[in-house]
Amino acid sequence: MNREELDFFARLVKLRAGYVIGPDMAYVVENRLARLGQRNKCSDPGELVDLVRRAPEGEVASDVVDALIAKDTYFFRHSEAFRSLREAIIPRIQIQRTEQRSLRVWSAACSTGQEAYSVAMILDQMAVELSGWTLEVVGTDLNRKLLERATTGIYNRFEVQRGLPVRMLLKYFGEAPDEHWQVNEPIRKMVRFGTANLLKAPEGLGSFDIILCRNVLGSFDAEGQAETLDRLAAVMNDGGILMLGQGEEIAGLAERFLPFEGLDGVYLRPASARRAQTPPAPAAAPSANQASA
Amino acid sequence: MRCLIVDDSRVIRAVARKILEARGYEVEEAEEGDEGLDACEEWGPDLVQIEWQLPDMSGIEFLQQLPQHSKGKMPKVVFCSNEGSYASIEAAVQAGATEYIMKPFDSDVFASKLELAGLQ
Repeated sequence: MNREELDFFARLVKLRAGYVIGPDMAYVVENRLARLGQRNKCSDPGELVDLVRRAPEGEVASDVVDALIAKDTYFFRHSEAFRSLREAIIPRIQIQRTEQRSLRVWSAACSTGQEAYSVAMILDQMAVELSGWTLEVVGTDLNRKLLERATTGIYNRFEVQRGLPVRMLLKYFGEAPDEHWQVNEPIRKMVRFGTANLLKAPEGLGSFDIILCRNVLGSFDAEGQAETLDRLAAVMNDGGILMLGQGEEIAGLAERFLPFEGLDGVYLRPASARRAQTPPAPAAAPSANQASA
Repeated sequence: MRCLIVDDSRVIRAVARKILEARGYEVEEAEEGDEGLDACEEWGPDLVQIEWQLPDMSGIEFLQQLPQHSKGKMPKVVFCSNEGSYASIEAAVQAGATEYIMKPFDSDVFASKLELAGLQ
């Protein structure tokens, strides 16, 4: 892959998804696009560039973005974060939302849904404490194909064995055809999936008490990180909690959020920041034409 | 940490040994249940990885006999098997298994299950 082709794909992904691809990532990009190139009968990356240029709003352009931003996910990824959720974060929200008795969680950039379902399983385990509460988990991603998979709640043997304790497999899953497993209906009903692009103000999602946006913002540039934090803060309830990946250093975090004492990667949106940032009007959808400009 | 692998498949033992040793485990192997129980008595593993069906007994029978061979220090037991039905996994857990690995597995799955077994 030559520099021009790498730059083309990097601009496309930056505009569509905010992800930054550095000049040293040619091998990674080539590797991730190899199968897509074969499927579209492209003999080299240049032919894939031509295909995207010819149909910038087409399926191939979307597939390129999807392939380049795909993230590894699994149930209860970084189990410590879920322990914090159960033992410290949700109990705190319970106190704050005693009157409303509703708890809404957003799993942003949820990929195939394991994070959203993990949250739903935690909420189910707290059924006694949360009795009478309205609970909802929203999972969003840019990639519709991943969301279709997430919505089915069907996972293969490898997926249900990464991070998921066997007792939770037995409690929350049933067998599905071809050695797959499916999340039980009560948990599936607790989770709603939809498309959303973190580069734009979220529309129609409502406000949240907890947002998980883990291992995503690190791929954005500093400006994109700060702007995305503003958009997240704008849809958080007073005292809402933001969960980032452990050790993620994000530009603009200290100006917008307070660290949750003792919990790595967990931040509190101060009530004084309530609606401080009005969500900007949705920008025109960036196109591959723009990317190639 | 000590792990005893009880499996009649040489390939599985070799794969599991490689992953376990890379994570700092001391590893011993046994092909049959009786041999595995003797190793538990003599060596005192922290973790036993066992097949659903061994040449001389089932994994469940192994688990039932294990307390008499563990000198008060009951190791954690992780099943590792082609048998991946809900009923089998449930039976293993009810018999006292800490975790269950359905074959085929990769190093990510194996590492994850070891971690889950260690945390529980």
